[in-house]
Amino acid sequence: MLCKLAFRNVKRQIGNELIYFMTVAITVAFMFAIDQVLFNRTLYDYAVGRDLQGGMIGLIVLISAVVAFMLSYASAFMLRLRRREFGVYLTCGMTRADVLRLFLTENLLICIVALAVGMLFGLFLYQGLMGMVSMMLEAEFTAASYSVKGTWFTVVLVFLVFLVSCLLAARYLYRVTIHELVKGRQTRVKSVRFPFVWTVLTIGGAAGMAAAVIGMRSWVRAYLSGASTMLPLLERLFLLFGSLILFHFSLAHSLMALLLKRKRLRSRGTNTFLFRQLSASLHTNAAMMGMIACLLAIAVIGLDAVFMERLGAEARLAVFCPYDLHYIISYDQDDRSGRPGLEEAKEIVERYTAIEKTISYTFYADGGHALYDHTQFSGEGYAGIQDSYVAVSEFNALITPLGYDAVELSDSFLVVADVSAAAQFPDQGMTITLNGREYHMAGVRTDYPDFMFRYLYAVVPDEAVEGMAAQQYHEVYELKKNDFDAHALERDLSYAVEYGGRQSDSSDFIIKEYERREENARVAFLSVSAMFAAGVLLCMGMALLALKTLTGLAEDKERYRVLSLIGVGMRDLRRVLFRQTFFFFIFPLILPLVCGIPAAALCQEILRINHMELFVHAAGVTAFAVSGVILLLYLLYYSAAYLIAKRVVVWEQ
Amino acid sequence: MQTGNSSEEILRMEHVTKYYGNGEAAARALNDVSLTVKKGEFTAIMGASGSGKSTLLNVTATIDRVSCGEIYVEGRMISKCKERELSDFRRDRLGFIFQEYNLLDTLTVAENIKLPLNLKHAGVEQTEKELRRVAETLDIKELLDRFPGSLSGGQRQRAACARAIITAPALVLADEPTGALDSANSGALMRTFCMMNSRLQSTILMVTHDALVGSYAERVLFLKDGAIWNELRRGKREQKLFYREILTVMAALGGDTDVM
Repeated sequence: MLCKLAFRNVKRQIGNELIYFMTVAITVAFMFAIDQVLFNRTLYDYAVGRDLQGGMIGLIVLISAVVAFMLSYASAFMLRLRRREFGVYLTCGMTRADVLRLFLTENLLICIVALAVGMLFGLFLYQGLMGMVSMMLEAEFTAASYSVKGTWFTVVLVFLVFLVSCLLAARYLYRVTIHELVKGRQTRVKSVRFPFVWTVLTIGGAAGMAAAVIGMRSWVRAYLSGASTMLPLLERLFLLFGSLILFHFSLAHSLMALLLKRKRLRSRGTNTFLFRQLSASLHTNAAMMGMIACLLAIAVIGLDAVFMERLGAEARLAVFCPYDLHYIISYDQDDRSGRPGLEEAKEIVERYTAIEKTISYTFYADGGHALYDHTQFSGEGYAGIQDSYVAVSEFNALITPLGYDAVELSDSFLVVADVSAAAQFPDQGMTITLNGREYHMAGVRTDYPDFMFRYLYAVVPDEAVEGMAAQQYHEVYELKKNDFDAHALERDLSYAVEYGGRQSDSSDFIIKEYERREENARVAFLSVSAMFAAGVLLCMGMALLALKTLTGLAEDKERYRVLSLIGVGMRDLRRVLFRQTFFFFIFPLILPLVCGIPAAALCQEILRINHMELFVHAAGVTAFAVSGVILLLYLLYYSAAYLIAKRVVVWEQ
Repeated sequence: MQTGNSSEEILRMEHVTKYYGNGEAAARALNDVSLTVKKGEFTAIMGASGSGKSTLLNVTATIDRVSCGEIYVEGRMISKCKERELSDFRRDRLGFIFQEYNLLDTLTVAENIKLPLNLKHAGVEQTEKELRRVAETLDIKELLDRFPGSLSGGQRQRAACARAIITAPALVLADEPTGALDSANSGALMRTFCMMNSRLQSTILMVTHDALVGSYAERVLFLKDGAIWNELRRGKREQKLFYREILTVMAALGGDTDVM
């Protein structure tokens, strides 16, 4: 009997509460697809690896916990929508345990149907994600196989999420009185108390957000100059999200109270009604608004950061690997056993593609550290560090093919440093003595690609390095084509070394194509993870707003009926309903979308500091696109909720 | 919009019939009803459950359509108006008082009362002036800043009265206004109605099945099976006497009567 009743209720609910069901199904689809990506054997071998898989499982479990919490919120709404029905069951003689069993059975049925529908969607979503990953990895897309392990992981996770959310929601059924179920809770509307205090708190929240953004900007500069760690960033992010919650929580209390104080504004048409409606709904849901705004901000900033990371990856590659192939050998490493010789290695490379051009250069050291003394990399802990020098003729041969102007030096030297080493370096006035001759510093450059992989070196006239001990020998190559199997070449050029008692692979070559593919794989998985997290958070946020709107429809319907009776026409009713629901929906979204602006500005700042100006514009466009897509999805969800609300509230008048 | 004949007539119904449903399942709620209500009249409509009293009020309130016949309010035929015209008409010319008060619980009493004037885009000063006037008349000044949820039934109904008359409507329609009130509050509300009728010249059309409530009106129309079955006028009689007369008619009508 219970099962039959539960089945009928669910059947009825699927029709009535489509938004809830579809949200659950979409979330399941996301979870299924991401789990399949994660447990795809080919991808695991190719790009994921144990560490990335572990990290992503952690992310999925974390997101699932958020989903469980939000679903419990949504289930509680659904429960309240049907409170009269549950009240009738209890008055008809059902025990509370029976009603709880009925509720859990219904949810189990919804879970099974949502799981089935979600997994069906997930089958296609997974192929779409794999297509995207393949595109990012520049691999040929073929229909990906499904993982049994991934499927089980999804099933277990979804059931756990449902169990947790149901148990949290069922607490209400356990505690509520029959009278409250049948008659509804007699809540009395009150004016917002202490609107001034809430306004001050709103301003405080805004100030906190501004301080967090300004703090992040100064942190970026400090971090890139090596003067800061990641901890201050976390502190600032906590400040940002905390302030965002405070801002929305207090604004939900103060905004309408302030608008209602404006006599002329509120006396226009239905404005008083609109402001009071919004005041009541925002006041009641202030905490939820803060929470949704925070989750949406995480989604927006996370997506922005990941897409910027993708741009940054391209830019970093241009700095880190300016040439197709880079050979590097340090003369201070004595043990060279097992390594392929340079000629032997070249023959290996030639098996994959022809070498078109070779440029060689050498770094020298005189044992001194006069240059490093001007950086943070001196003193205790940097005892063995030595200054490095490269002849200007070799340096020019290296940079001119890349489009840089040749360096001209006479009795002078040029310091090439990374941003962190250059931060404390004097602009001018420094002199060094090499081979008994004094050279004046011509300047510090941070915009050249990385040719040595150390903090700094000096470009000096050719005669200055004569007789100096060679420190590193480099050869860079331009290859005829880049569509060779870079992973196979990397394997062929690698040799085994013992490091810290463990065997690992090492190589004297940096293969640009290999690095690019590795970076692509990392960014592809970051992107997929971020999209999964953002998709689920967005979906949950929108569903909560939609369900909250629909839950309030019964009361709203009555209020709109009264409006209609006292002479508000259908068109005006629709307009008021649109304004009310739209503002309620958009309230927690505006600021998270705006957060995309400082996030993009910070990313642009990072790109600028790292001399990646080419990508600055793209960073802005990416942030704009992310916000645009989120807004579009949001509006689609809103449209569905509004149409239902309109049907229930206005058409039925 | 067509025009009727007499300027003294606020409401005129001509051969109004209303059916619910179609074909064999059709039920006739009003059967060829014709009546007039003059300016300043306080009229009660009584009858048994299902006699058509609420339907008659609903078609007058323009929240339901007639199947045939015409209804004129202040000489304007409202039975064939478009939806937009009807909502403007309700806003400007009708006042409503219902059993369940129908105050908006999210608005304060003052905001509820001012709402019809806000909808008419009346100026702030005029709105405040009218609010003060009706609040003083109905003695609800001290309730203005409170929300309906914190008021007693009688207080709520007085607030609803204030909202109904703030626009000085041609016709105040009351549907079982004492239905949710105890006897003391019912009596107080009816005295308020009488005061509205005598001091403010409000024309009131009230539906009730309570004989005592009906006895406050000047004229009582009895409905039976959707048609006007009888009519009583109070004239110079005392209310108690009129009440007994109504009871007698109701007994003859065979309907259910409540005695307070």
